[in-house]
Amino acid sequence: MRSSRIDRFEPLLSPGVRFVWGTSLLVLFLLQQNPILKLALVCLFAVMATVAGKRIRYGYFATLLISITIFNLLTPYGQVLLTIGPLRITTGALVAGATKGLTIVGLIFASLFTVSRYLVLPGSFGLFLARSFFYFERLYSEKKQIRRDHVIQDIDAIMERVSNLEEGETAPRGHSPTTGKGILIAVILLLVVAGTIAMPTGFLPHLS
Amino acid sequence: MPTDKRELAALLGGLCLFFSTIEYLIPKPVPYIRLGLANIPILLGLDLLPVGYIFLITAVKVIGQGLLNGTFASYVFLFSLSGSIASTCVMILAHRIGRNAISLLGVSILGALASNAVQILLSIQFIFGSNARIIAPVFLGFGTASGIAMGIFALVFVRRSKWYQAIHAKFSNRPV
Repeated sequence: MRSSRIDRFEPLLSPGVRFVWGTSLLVLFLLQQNPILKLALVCLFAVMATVAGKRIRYGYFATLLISITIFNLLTPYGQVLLTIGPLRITTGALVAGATKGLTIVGLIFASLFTVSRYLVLPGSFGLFLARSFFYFERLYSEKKQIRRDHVIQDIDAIMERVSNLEEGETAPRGHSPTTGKGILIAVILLLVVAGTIAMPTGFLPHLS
Repeated sequence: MPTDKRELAALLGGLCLFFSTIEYLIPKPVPYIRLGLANIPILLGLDLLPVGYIFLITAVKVIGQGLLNGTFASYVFLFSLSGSIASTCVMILAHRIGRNAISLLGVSILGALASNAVQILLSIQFIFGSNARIIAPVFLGFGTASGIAMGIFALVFVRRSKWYQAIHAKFSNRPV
């Protein structure tokens, strides 16, 4: 996902620290069983993904959530809430479907702010990937040269130019180190998400 | 011009990421449908590179997409990884076994079907349950259509591209 929006986590957390932090949040999210608190975490993750400069297509994710819920409704169980023709909408299937949908959407949102494009993978595969990113950056910088009615011709010309670049070069992978402010924000968010798991849920509506 | 096969594989990996970014910019009406533009460089590489490098390009495609799109830590990555591995295995087999009998169009369709079949099985297992069989025909239909479109693109590119012909002359013993 390329975006011209500013990634506000970038100057605060190095890609490696950010990855560890984000995956920790992701694990805590998976431990959350209450659907209402899960929804609250999905909203928090959506805000964090936006802060990370990612554009969220809410229509896309709403379709994803609704379709997963509908498919779960096809296997009814629990109290019948409503009957629409042959379809019985039951509390159990509705809550299970919505929870599953929220989990999947939440994981995507969490991934969006967890993964920096500057994350460097170790070993010879990491070097190979960096080399591919170098070519990708060069190809992407030529994107505007592609005309709709000459796609093949234009891609061919771009490939010729990019193929003739110097060997040994790699894409610039510059990024900032982790700052004290970044650590503070990361710890606060970890505590908030962990807090929702420890939180008593007696005051929330009972769904099952 | 790439001097060795590893460099050519890195270039094709970069092309996968480029096509994947272009595809991301194309609006999708529903979440489960995609074109599969990033498979084109894999189709192009079949005639040029040994099996190991084709899998390396596939790895770059899946991991690079995950890093660029930010889906590296989500279920999307698992779907992409499984679909891509299945598709690459089937495309390599079809290309190697079929030799002159199966064109890039046929290879592309088989690859798309393999990828979709694996993703349907995963969605039955992890997301929708057995009810996913209802959308399976629609999903496979779109998969076939996208496989045809990508196969035609690859065929036309192979025939018209001067860059591909120069690369082919350097790295392959087979006629274009």
